[in-house]
Amino acid sequence: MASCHDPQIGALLHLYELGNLTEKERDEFEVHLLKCHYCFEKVEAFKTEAELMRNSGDIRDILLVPETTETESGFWKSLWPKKPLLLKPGFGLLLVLLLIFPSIIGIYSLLDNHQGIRQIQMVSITSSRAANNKVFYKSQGTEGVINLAVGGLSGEKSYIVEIRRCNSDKALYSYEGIVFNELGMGQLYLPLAEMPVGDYTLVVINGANDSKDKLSYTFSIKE
Amino acid sequence: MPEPIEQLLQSAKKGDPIAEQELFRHLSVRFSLFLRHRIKDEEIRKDLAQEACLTVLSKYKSEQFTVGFEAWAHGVLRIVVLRHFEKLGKDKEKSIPLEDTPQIAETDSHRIETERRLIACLKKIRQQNLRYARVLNLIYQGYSTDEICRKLNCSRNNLYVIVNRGRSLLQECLERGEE
Repeated sequence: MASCHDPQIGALLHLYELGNLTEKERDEFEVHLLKCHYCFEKVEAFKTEAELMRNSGDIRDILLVPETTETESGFWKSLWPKKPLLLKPGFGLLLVLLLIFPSIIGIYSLLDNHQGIRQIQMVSITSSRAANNKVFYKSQGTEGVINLAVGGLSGEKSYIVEIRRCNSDKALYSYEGIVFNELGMGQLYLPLAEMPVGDYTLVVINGANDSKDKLSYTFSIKE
Repeated sequence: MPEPIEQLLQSAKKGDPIAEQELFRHLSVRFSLFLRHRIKDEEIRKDLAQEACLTVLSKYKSEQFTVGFEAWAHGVLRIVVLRHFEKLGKDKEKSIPLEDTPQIAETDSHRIETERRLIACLKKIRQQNLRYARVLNLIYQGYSTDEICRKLNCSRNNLYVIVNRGRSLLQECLERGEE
């Protein structure tokens, strides 16, 4: 016989050998042994060992150890007792740790903001230089402001800025006393509404050095 | 492959002497095995097994089995054992308590050798299968199967799996002769 014909009773085999069945269970298993050759062969082959396990004092001494040494330690058992999950102290502790951790991270980041150099979050770079022949449209109805950035100019001097027609040396508009800052940046108001359509040249003149051109910039005004 | 007990019984009932002899042997071997759980003395075990077998063989042809032949035959054995204990002045059938069991005679060299190997394997398995070791420990402490299940927080079926797996490991170790 390759296997037990009643595995449910056959499962009692080793507990029978160890003598740990109730009287009723033992009788049931023995009746099973009268029919089941497979289980009988197993019990018969192991009978000497089983009897020794039941009766030998030496074997008992080896296997009989105080129960507490094999169970979980008291600390872990108290953290994780046999209670519903929400009532386990260990679960509560875990929950508290999960809540505290992000809070600590948040507190540290706040402290960092006030004590050290803040990190730049975003950098937007725009071109500070327009190409020549910039076109201004009168139809937009806005006044024009030209931001000038001229290298090599002194921040302590004032300059003359003229707006001329292209191919003409005569100034249509002349602005005196234009001051550039130490970075060479200045600003000029452009009266677009008054200016006729056409091509113009903006000229920066060093006032102290007669009428020598320092910089020219061409632009157009269209409807 | 031995003949099933039902087949032996049918043939014996029809008057087959070989089947009856085989039935006797079948019961005798098993009764002797069962008596190991009840009687410490081997001679008494043999006598009681034989007495129970003879009772079965004298009655099985005329008996009407309401619970099946095997259960009836096992009942006969129980009665024989009960009578034996009554004769000894005991009022009920019971197993010999472990505390009362005498130590195995040291002259029995086979048993001593088996015990030595068994101890070596149990020591090894105690390290490999902690749950089995714990079950054995609880059994030696006198806990019942249900109490062990409660202590281990497992079902009876789980307990059967644990002990039978432990038994397989033990048997493998004994067969390999590892120490």
